[in-house]
Amino acid sequence: MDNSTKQYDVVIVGGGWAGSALAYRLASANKRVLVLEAGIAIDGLITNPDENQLVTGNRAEFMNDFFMAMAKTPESPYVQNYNAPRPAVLDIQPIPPFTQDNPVQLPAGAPPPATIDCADPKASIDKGYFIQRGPVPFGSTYERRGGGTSWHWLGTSLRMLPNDFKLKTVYNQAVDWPISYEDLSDYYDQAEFEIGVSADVDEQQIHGITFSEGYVYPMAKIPATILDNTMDAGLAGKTFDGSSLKVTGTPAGRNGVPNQMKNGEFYDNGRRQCQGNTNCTPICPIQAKYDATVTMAKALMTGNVEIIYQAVATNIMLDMTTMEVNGVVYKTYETTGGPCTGTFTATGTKYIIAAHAIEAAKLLLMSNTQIPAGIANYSGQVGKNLMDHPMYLGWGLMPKPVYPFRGPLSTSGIEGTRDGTFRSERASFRIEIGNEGWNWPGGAPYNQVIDMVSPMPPDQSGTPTVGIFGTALRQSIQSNFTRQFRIGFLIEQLPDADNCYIVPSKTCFDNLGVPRPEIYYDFDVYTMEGFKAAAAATDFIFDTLGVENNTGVPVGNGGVFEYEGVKYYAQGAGHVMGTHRMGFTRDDSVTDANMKSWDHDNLYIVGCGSMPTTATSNPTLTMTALAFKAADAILQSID
Amino acid sequence: MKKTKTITLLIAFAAIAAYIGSASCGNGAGGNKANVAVTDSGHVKTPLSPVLPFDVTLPTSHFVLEGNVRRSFDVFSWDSFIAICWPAQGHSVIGQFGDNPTVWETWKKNYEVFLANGLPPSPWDVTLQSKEANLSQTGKTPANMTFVFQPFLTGPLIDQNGQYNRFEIAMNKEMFDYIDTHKLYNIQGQQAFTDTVSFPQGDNTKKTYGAVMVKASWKVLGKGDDTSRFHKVKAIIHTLALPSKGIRDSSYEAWVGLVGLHIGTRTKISPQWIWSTFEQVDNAPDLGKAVNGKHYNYYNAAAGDKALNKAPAQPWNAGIPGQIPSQVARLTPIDTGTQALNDSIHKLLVAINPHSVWQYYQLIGTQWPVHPTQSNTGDPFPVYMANATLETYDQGSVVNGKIVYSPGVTSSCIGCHNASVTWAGRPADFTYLLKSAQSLKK
Amino acid sequence: MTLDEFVSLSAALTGYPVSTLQPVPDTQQIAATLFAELNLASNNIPAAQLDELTQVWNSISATPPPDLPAAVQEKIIENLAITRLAQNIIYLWFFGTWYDLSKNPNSFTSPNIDHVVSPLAYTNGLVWGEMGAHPMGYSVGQYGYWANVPTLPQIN
Repeated sequence: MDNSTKQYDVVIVGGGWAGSALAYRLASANKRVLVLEAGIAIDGLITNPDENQLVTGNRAEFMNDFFMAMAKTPESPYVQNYNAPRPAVLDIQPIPPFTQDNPVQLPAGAPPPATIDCADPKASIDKGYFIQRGPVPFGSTYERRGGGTSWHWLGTSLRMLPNDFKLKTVYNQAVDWPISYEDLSDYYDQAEFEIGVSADVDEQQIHGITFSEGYVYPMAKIPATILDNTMDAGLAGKTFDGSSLKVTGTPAGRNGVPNQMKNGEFYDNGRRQCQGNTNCTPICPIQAKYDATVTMAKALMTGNVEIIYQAVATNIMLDMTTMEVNGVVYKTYETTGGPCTGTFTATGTKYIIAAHAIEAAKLLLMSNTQIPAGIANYSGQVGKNLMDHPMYLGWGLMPKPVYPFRGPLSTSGIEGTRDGTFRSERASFRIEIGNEGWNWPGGAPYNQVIDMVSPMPPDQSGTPTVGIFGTALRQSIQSNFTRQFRIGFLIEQLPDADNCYIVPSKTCFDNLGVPRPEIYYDFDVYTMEGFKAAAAATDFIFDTLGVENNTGVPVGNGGVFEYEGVKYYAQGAGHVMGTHRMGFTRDDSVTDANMKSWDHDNLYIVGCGSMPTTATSNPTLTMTALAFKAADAILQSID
Repeated sequence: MKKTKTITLLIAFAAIAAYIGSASCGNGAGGNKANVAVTDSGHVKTPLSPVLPFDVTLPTSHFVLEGNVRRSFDVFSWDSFIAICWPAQGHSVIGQFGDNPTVWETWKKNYEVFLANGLPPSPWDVTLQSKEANLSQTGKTPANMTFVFQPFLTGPLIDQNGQYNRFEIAMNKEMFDYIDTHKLYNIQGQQAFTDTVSFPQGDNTKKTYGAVMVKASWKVLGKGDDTSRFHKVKAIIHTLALPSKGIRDSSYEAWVGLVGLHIGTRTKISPQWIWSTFEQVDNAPDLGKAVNGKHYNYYNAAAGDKALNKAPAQPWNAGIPGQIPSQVARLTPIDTGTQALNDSIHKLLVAINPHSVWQYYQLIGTQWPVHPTQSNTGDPFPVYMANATLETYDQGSVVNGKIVYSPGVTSSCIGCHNASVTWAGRPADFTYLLKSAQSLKK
Repeated sequence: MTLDEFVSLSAALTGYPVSTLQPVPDTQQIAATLFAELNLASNNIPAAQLDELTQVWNSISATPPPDLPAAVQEKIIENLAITRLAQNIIYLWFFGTWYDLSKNPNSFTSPNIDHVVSPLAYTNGLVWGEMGAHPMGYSVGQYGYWANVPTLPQIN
């Protein structure tokens, strides 16, 4: 639809997590906002009735797609859209010429030459949206539709640690953030309120984290699982490499028992309390887990927001005199596999790119018709410093049943390992405790049942084999599967502009003709030493708990690499960061501390891409805090 | 509940009807048309009864889930509907004068139990409450109607005139007494209550009533509506402000017509409650079966089916002029056995008065727990259940022309209500009402 | 194979009693839903295999219960002509999934016709309750249930 005659206070590219938070804040302050969302509309979240005539999505349909999927990946509820494509975990493979048997040896040299055939966009996207240049495949995915990646986030809502903002100053690594923990503290309060976080504040004052006087989380801590309590008891007083292995409840954007807040009000967001569907990723059936549609709905209810779906931003235009942005060009489509139906321009006073780290950077670099290096890129850092939390998984059998597959996917973790003097030498990590048995690393319960009932023949063929059945099968499941558990290490990555970056592909395009992201990605020694420590920590923890260690080749083995002769299998955490980082000067960062572009006074770029370093906390809560900080700055600049 | 000497119980009648119905599918009880005689004193004889059933009366043998068992629960639903829609005062019978103020409208509404300041509600006073209901119906003190959203903000429902549906919730004395006695009417009371919430259960043996809660869906009567086909009350329609669109807080009086009624009853046989749902007959066509030229409350053939069962565009505010009417179809047709029972009840209502508004209400279905002790939800049947005016957007999806249901998401009374909790986070015995409680202000 | 034969065979293969697989009354109709997979042409089940499995089952179904598992082991599980088909029936009940008969279920050889039978077949999958849990994505549990030790289903 053509909005080029309308004038908005703010145009936001992206109707996902950051876009919804910003739209809500700005609309609540009576600003007129336009949101451009590349993906499909979500039922009940449209402002133009004509959108109801197009493809729309809803939780029931997503759940149905999930139920019917053979592989229940994060993408399984969300059908691919060739006009706003997204990556999928099933597509993560070693990059040729590297294979499972001949994995990339890190540290590696230059990335291998490109081998991707993308002549047919749809067929090529079916094999993987990313143009992975390596040498290590980028392991994380995201969603492009109303609500964005929040549909399949886990729910973990941890604050960063004070030292996380000062990695350079304290540990002489990477860079400092241009803000401190104290600068963000109030925004963390606001973020936890908006999301609706359940936690016990007394447990969360770790590694120097402080809370405002009398702070109360909106809801009480989610009860621990039997596994959490087992690990807590078994690891009491234990340390690894100087870090406490104490088990702590994980704050989560998941409805628990409401608290009476500091202002005397009892918290109520109107949604159901968690029923332990054990499905946070990829989708919560009852929306006990927060997702961005909650905030987008509130934004739309103000009446100050218009949202256009199926609108893919393709070019950011500048007034070359003022160097301010004066329009966002976008393409529309009617069906997810059909042709472009029009090209339009959206105009506003301020512009926000909140399109997820990779797509935002891609858009800025693609917008090169006026400045060859792209928009907001004086520093040359746009698209650079791509980071994830590569994850190491350890899994095994507890000596006694812990009854997995019950409760939220994760309710506790080990946070002691997130900070310490070792950060001068190696990456830190946080240890997430998984309640879903070997589901992630081992394809449980399916693969293990099949191993018992139809064991794989040596030649891997379809030859029938004899296995167990009936009572024997049932007994085995009862005695064995009930002891499954897994832990996951979220390992820090440092920004590496030379080896970890994205560029818009010059040869591979999606169905709309928009360039696909070409990704160069690597692990440095700092991170690999983190993997090494993670493996050692797993051994120690498992030893201490009397666990039968089953850590081996995970089902998701595409992130295989070798370091010091040892094979590791990195998993993406779904945390995509760094590609439009904030900083102290325009020479080495894309935005200032308010996420305002150094180069264009009316352009803000907001999201996990704003983060200059990764810390070890799941970045979503921090992104929300940053979005509110940016909103305040934008409002101040307008008024 | 009131009893009238000349009335025979519908339950016994329906048992005969069920026997006939199960032998010859679809005939229902039609062959046994009741004679309605008006006695000298003006009393009307009818098999329909103002006596609320305590619990379902199950078949005594040869259980067929989709046959005689379903029928017994459907009969329970109709018995309940007739009893709670019976005239609130006087000696007339249901629909004797066309329309009538109902018993359930004398019950306390949720906002009369859970007060804004958390204070205890006023005692149950059936005389006073009846008087108010009567005044409502005659327009003297209209009922306040503000709520416009279906559960969990799935959306408002908009009629052909662009008017929002209004929703109301009420509870019977047994339910009220439990809340009152255990001080569950404010947040602090619920936090202090450490027992398991367990509302009274209707019991055929002890002849005691259980908790009954109703949720009503009302449409503003206007252009195109044949008002003789609705139970009507006068209401004060409140619209909330929306400054961005220049809309102020406003109220106006209007006649509203009942288009949907949920009845939830807790019983001994069904501790997960029995869920009965009724609709006005003109609400929506079955999917793909719109009748040419027929006026539907929430469907217009000319608008096409692309936006079928989708929530309206935001912002959702009843004061915005010119809103596009919701386009609604019923995805799951009413079971043929249920429809046969509907037909037979309608005949009885017409026999009382051919202009009875109550002949224009139909039972969509009844959901009950088939194996109550097996699990928290007790194995509900039918697996899914939705009222087109109350769960419009959760009926299921149409994928490539076929209807697809998603367990845990597609509307199921028991499935959804199973998640209800008190302010202490503990199970609330299948009602979300307790979450309406406010904090006791010091 | 008739529905009744399917259910009694399923009981022998899964170790669950008929009363669990086909409860009375039956709200979920899972037995009928899974049985339909045996008659789905797109599942490419060789008629001879289905016939042999039916015949073999009928020949041993009256075996006294203590001796039945051994008979199933010998006549069905170790009978390579029909063992994959029998194993598929186990998967139908435990997962709600049908696996392509021409490959091992843990193989990803493509193309294949592996598929989930229906959402209700998934939510009624037996493997989850076996562990004292519930299918991922479908829980009727109440808040906090995960802190309590579950009771596993009885094995007879």
